[in-house]
Amino acid sequence: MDDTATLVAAAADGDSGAWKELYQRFSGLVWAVARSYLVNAADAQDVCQTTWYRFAEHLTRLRDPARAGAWLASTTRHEALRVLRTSGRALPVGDLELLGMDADERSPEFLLLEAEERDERAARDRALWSAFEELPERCRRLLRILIASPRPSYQEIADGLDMPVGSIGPNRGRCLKRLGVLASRRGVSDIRG
Amino acid sequence: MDDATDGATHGAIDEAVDDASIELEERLRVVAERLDPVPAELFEEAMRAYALRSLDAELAELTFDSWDELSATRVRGGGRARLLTFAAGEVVVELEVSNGRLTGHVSGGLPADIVVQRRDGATRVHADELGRFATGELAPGPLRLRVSPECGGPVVTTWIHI
Repeated sequence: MDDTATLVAAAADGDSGAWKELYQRFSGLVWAVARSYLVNAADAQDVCQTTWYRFAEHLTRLRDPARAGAWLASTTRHEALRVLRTSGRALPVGDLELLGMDADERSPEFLLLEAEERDERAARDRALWSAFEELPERCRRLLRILIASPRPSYQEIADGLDMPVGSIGPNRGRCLKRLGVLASRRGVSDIRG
Repeated sequence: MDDATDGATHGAIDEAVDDASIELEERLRVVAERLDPVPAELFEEAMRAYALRSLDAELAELTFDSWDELSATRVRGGGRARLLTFAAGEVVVELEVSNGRLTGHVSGGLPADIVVQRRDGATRVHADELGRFATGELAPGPLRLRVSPECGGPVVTTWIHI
């Protein structure tokens, strides 16, 4: 596997295969950062789109190409905050009560899952996701980025949240512990797939 | 410190990482991929973004965005215009976005050819002898301006979303 700086250099040089690989490597991170701020999926998609256009434009201009993931996380966060500030759907940052409510919103994901209710595993997934959505906003944001696929580095998570990199590990531990408690309340005893 | 935690070295240094938390994290990652996957369309968009990157023009970065000035709790007032400034060296492009229309000004007050680039097409406008230009109503989506002043090389603005 090529390192990120090599891929950035190759993509800047016109190698579209390298660009594809950068996309595979970071599309999960970019999406997760957008989703951690934006409940509305269409808003998140617009933000990701803008981020990829900007990234293509900046291939030859990154100060530190090895940290392209952190650049992408930070660009996505800025763009998501712009949308959050101006969208009629904006929620005040830090308002835990309001965010608790959207766990009850019947999102397409939930409707899809309801159709699969008989599937035991789907039911367990749903219970775990509901527990995740019950988490306080801080935890939800952090975990949403952490669980991007492939798993981002702590530096990338920190840039997605504008938090010190040293705080990611301890918060990860705390938030997962809370999630474990909420999940077991919902009867997700066996978290194994 | 940043460098030490960059790349693949994360996780191992964190004392709070234990088997149970790793297992829960992995489980949640699998669920997220099922319930909140990256939209497939974004791959096409990224490929288009790559094809559209400009190789010959100087990039004018966004130096001001009135959306950044709003407080986090304010909700958009009807028809409120968005003001943007892009700069590349001497060239400064000021833009107002209001109801899908662009009105703008190129510094120096010189005539310039301007192409409004979209993901699936382009619109040409001309900046008059005072550097002013305007467009008709544009559909939502990503957009950038390619500005070719009568003297000097072309400049493209960074992408914005309207």
